[in-house]
Amino acid sequence: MNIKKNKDERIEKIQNRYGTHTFIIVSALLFSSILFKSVVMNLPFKEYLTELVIFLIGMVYYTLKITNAGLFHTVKESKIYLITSFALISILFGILVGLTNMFRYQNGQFNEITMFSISILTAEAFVIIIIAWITFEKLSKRSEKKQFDVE
Amino acid sequence: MKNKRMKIARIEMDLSQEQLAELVGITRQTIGLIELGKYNPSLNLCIAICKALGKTLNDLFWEE
Repeated sequence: MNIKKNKDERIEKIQNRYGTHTFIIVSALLFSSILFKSVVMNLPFKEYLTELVIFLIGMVYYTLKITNAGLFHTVKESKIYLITSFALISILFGILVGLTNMFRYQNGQFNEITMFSISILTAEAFVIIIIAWITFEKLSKRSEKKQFDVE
Repeated sequence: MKNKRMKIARIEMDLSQEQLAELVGITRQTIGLIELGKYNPSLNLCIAICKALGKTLNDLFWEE
């Protein structure tokens, strides 16, 4: 009798589930640490460089794997929801970095330079997110097409 | 829903959960959970179990 030896899929699923949770927790902790060190403690860049590199490696690895598997563009959220989320993230980023710069370089005085800086940062972040999203979506579609063409 | 047909087929072949698990290459707990109806196995795993017990998918997993 030819029985193909299986890996225990139930255990694999459980390990994957907890692996995913661990990734989310570690990423959240790293992000909080970066935010705390940069914004609250106002430490120089090199003080949180390691956390930033580890955080970015994790995010890039995950995004590339998902894209390569042709799953990036299968996100079910509507376009309106996605664009609203991107806009909110960009605004938060703009405000956070803009206010940090205000306390660092303008002695905490809110003026037109602060507003200008927040607007520019928000717009930049929004454009970068949209470009990254569109790029990964295209790559993901291409990868999916390649998989279906082969099989 | 409990999978009694799988349990009967296993007992008919005089196999313990441990032995069936060893044949298929999974853990005893997974066999136990499938028999209790608390875990839905993949098609590949169903096929492996059917081969180990000398039954078809219909015999073990098709509910009338």
